[in-house]
Amino acid sequence: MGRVGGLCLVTDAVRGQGGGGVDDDIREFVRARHSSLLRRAYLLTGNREVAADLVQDALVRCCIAWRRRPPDNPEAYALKVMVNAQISRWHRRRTVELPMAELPDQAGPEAAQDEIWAVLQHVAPRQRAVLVLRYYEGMTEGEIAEVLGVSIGTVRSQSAKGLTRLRLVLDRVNQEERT
Amino acid sequence: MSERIEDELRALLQGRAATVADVGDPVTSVQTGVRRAVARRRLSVVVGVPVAAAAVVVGASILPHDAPQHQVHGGSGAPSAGAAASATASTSLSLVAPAATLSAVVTPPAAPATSPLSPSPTTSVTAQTPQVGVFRTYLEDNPAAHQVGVSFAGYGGRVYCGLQVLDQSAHQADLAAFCQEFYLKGTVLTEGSGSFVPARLTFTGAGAATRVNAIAVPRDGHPLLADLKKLFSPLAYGRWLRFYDGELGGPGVDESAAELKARAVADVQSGRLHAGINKSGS
Repeated sequence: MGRVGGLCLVTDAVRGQGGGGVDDDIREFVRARHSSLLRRAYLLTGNREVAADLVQDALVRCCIAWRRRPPDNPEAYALKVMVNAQISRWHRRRTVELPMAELPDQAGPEAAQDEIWAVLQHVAPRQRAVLVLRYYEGMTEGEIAEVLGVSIGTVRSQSAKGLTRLRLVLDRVNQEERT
Repeated sequence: MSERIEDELRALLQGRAATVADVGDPVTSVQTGVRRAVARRRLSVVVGVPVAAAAVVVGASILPHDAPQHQVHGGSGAPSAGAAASATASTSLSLVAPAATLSAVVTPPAAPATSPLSPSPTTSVTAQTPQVGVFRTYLEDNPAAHQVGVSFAGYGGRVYCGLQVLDQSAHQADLAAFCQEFYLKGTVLTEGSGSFVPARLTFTGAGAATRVNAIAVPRDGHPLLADLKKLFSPLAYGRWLRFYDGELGGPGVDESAAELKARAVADVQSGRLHAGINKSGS
């Protein structure tokens, strides 16, 4: 058995049949888009280490899928894998509690953002994914529905619930600012 | 007001995302991940069961855990697989596979000549010695092994481990353990959590009088290989890597899934294995 060597374990035999080009494509994709995926994963998970694992898992799956058939849009595929893996991971979680960031003593724009971030750590993962895809990725409701595999109505309701929760936090911070 | 929260959220997400810095070479990290995925798939072929949670190590540290002193008698944790397999299930157990069907154990490749951990070459095939029985009992029964996730019983059942000693010195053994939980769901013997974990045991004594004092495992996820390199002897690390390198001849474990299951059947008959926590609620 020949030693496996390519990024996605593309064997020498496969390379001889044009597999080397595929491997180069994957390698280039990973190098070019890893940072971007890592940033999105961090927003989805709120934890850098978990985010790194999530990206790695997504890229591994992307890699394995690529060996079968190159995805039309590998980045969209990886994002979809990450979002759904994070939702599944949350459902499988055991007693893992991520520590909340320390809340600042003084109110202000940073305080509001810190509080919103802290609340964002505790919203359900699908709600969080909807908010990240909508307000970071700038996706439409239809695109989000396609990524999550849910209806547009669900996207709307999840988005509304998430925003309502965040708005309550913002109102409280504003109240504290005034007093 | 609605726009305010949306603007705040946009700014927050952009700001937080900007704090994330890429570290290391992502290509290497992905390559390692692919190897592990391939190895998991191979493991499921070798031992014949899907690995539900390869390396289930939740919050585990590379540092040895303080383990209670645990004296066991050699061999008690490793009953004769053949005898167990031949036991007939008089109750309505329905998941008993013939022991012979999945008993392939892959012989590991030839070891490098020397290892700092083992002054003299040790056998790479785990033999059914009394000491191995002690190791197995420790992995299956000691709370410390449960704590680090080597033998995780997510369904409240009982865990059975096959193992491979990758390298061993007078007081330390580096091993690969495949542990599978079985529990009773009604009257049906059912597979629960499974894990394939590298672990270092620190022990005193020898043979049946071996006393395991501590267990250490690497963290799961991306720190796994770095932790493992620090934890294992070079020989054991090399053997473990060969498994994940996608080459044939990586370490198998000394008991197949069917043999582990046969032990579970024997325990059901002797009353040692009870109903687990039925997570489905049925």
